[in-house]
Amino acid sequence: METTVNKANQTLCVDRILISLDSSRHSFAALQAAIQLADHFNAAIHGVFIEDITLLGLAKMPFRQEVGEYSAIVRDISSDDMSRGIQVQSRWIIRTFNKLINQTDIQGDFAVLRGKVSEIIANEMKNYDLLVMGKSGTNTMQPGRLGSTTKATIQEQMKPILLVEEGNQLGFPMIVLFENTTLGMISLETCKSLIDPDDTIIIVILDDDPDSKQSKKTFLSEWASKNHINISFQCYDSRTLGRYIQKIKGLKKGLFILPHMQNLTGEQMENLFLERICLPILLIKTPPKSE
Amino acid sequence: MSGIPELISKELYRKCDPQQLGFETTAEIDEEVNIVGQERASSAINLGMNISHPGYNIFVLGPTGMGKREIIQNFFKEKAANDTTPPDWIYVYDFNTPDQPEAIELPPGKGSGYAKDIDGLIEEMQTALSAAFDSEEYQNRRQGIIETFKEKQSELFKDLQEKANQAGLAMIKTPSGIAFAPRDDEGVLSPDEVNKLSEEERDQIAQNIERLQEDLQKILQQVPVWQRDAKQEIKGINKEMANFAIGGLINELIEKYNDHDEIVEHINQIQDQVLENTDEFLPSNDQEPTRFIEMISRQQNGGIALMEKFKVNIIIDNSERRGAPVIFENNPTYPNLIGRVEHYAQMGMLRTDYRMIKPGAMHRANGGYLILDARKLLTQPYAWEGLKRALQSKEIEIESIGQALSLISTVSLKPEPIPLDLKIALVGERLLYYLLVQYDPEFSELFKVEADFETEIEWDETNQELYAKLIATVIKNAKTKPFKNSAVARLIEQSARQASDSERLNTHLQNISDLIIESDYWANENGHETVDDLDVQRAIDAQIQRADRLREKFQESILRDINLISTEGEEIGQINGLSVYSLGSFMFGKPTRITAQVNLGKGQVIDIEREVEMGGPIHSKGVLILAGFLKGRYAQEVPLSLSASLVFEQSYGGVDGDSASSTELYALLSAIAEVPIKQNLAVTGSVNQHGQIQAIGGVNQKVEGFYDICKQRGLTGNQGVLIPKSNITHLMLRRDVIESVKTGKFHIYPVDHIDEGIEILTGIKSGEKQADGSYPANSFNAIVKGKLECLARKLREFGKTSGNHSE
Repeated sequence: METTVNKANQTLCVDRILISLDSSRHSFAALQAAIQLADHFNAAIHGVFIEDITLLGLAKMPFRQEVGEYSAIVRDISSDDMSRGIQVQSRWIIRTFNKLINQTDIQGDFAVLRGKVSEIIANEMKNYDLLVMGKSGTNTMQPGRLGSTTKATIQEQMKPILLVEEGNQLGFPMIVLFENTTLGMISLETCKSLIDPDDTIIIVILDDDPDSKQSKKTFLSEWASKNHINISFQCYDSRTLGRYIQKIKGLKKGLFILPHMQNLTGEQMENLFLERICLPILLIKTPPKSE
Repeated sequence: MSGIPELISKELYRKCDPQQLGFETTAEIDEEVNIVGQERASSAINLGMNISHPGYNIFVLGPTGMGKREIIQNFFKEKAANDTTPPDWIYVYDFNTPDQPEAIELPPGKGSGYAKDIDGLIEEMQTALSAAFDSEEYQNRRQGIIETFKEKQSELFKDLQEKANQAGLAMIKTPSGIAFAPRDDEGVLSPDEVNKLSEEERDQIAQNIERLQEDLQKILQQVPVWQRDAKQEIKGINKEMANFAIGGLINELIEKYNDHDEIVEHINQIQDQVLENTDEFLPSNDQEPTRFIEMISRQQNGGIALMEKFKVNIIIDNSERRGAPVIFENNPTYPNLIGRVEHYAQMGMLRTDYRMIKPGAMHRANGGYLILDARKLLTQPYAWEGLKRALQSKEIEIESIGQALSLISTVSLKPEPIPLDLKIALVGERLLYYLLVQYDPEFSELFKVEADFETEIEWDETNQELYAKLIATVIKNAKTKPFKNSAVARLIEQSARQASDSERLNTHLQNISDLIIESDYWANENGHETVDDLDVQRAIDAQIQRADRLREKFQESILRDINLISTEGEEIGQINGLSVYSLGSFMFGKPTRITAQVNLGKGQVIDIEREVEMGGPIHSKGVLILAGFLKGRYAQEVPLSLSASLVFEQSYGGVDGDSASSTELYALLSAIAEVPIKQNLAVTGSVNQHGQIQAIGGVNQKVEGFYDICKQRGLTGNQGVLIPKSNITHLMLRRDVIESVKTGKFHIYPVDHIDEGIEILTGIKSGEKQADGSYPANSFNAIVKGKLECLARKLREFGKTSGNHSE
């Protein structure tokens, strides 16, 4: 199944959502956001918990030891302990998933799979329109906001990804980073499809060239007028971008729609947004294929 | 029976002249009278009410149905209207001793005002704190601290990660910790790949892992310290923001209640609590508890939410009151008096907090007056003890019966006691008062004033006027039709009848009140606009009819000659006595045949009732008095040589009282003298050893009891009753009896001495004792004396004969 495009306005059509869950609080926040989106798009949710074979393999190595995350005590790992630990996590996740899904009318199912996490996700995503996951996993000690699995998935996955962080939720304000590209327009149209008519879309324009900035504003004003949409602009350049990020990084509710930027500067900026802001981020990497 | 003094109809009933009352109907009377002829009780109540020293509480005693409670309530209300309005009392949460809520006194009306202010403060604080913690400034500062902490942590982990990379190791998060594993460009090596490595390579890896583990341990030990520091820093910001947000609100309230130190302290405590617990006001990310245990745990930790703890529980609100309170507690149970701490069920447990403290009657009456029914109070478990404890300690301490008796040891609230200052009036029967005085040594200390209500008042002109007004007040309160003066007069006459005294009026208001309501009913039935004397009479007749089933049965039994009573002819040693039956408030009289038998003996008068243990002690005393009379009058020179037996014929229940002692004496004298007694007469009255006839109770019912039988059989014109002369003032007889006396068909003879009675009963002169100790020939006393001397002789002769035989 392919992700479809509404030809008329180039927006996302989401029928099936895949959510990759672990036992972290980020996952729980991601599940709540996925349910909100599924409700909006009238989509089905498929949850997966992946038993990481790397972890299972650890217990069979000669140096099978771990350091307790809170106790800092070094102790041996056994295959049984590792399997039991993973099973406890999967049971808790299934229970939470079922409980939240059952409180809604959304169609949802769940599967426990085994393998390398990024490979499994890549394989599963062939059948889904949107991937939802936590910004990081259970490793609280890792440097940075994004976990290694998330980073790898962002790198490999071409379909839209919604990344959610612990304690944050979908809502308003809805912010779109505008790029004068197909992905930029899809991001804009997707945002339009997510808001109510009376709400305002905050459009962030990043451009060092004042003329180009003005021309984008003119275009967007016409677009808004044509679509009867309220918009407001936040205009920055590469010099002042840090200030904007500083301004919004404390926000815990809302949605930041980020079109994938293909050039080097764009990728750096994309990473900056992904690493620095707390808000849920919908990353749109490629145009959806036509039906 | 000509020549014998008898009562005329006027002496049998005291009429109340309606014209003397001074009104046509009670609608004309505006003055309210609630109490008549209770000067003793009134002055006692005034004394008790006006002495403020402890222990001057009042016990109002008297029979039930006299309106004692209304009277004391009116006294208290009149006084309370001019008393100072007592203060309000509130309970607040004590943050230092959470199980001991603090009681705070406030001027009247301020309690509810403070409660509203606190509710407003809570609402405003919630808004202000929410705004403060949602502000960009706060969020950025908080996020800054978190980011700094995370960055510090990240730096260390980044270094560790680099070290691990350099050593060809991957850092992996396991379900319960962090592990290191060898890796290559493809990722973490599989166990098979690791096993293929040389021993040296594996040793090297193991050493590297050990080194990294040591580094990791150091980092992990450092993290909690940074975490704690970050939390402290956030707490500092929280406090700063909260203080800024609520400072103005708090100061405003402190300014308002500056004169009340305890309130200011409470407000300061609220401020401290908000600043110390800012986490409670932060936007919550808490997930819904998924397990029962989690839910319980949250509830146990949280108890009542912080903001709820600031609220005020108003125990006494006197904002609407002018003057002191007057409270009547109709159900004086222990908790209704002392107050209680209620509980609510939650998750199968009973929980409580200071807001569940409920006031008792003593709280509500504090600073004023409390009226309690003594009988109800004494029959409620521990209520009397609780009341005494509060009066002695001069404070109201709310604790359950279980706590008071140390029966339960579960943790509960112990609210701070409230000082007690009130006047209590216990309303009850005389018996209760005297029992308490006798058996409770603390009672006299706590209830020093007895207000004893009269059950009867004198029927004079002044009291008659007041009594009429009292009746008018009852009529007004009962919202019945107005009563004509003739109806009121009839009520007054009935009151005298209830008092069994033509010179007294009954103060038992309940009876009068019932009669008024029932008269009103009959007036309605008869289509009368105002109630007249016929309606009252109808109500009286209906009351009697409802109650006189047993009387009818007795009369029927006599009329069918099952119970033998003669109303004509003459018999030796047989007389009609009169007894009274009391069924609740209904009394009726019934004639009873009394007989005497005499034989040779040693001066004993046997009371058969006593022999079979059916006679009470007073009756037995009366019979022994007869022996004393016989000995005193006839056996001064010769021994009393007879043995006599007396009995109430066909009496199958107990007999008590001495009202038949004169009757028994007549029967005995008749038996001794062998002179017949007229059976058309009945007798009542007690007698002393000198033969004087003394007053008895229930004279009206007794006369009517014999009259009814005679009437049923047909009045012959010579039937009648002998009553003690001293009972004349008690006569308030029925109209039909009076009519029969008036027409000479029935007679009532007042008798002062046994000699007068014997003449009426036998028709023979009794005969006065002469100087030589003898009685005139053929007089009744002479016959008796002669018979007794004869018996003495016979006994002497019999003694000699039997002595000879024995020799």
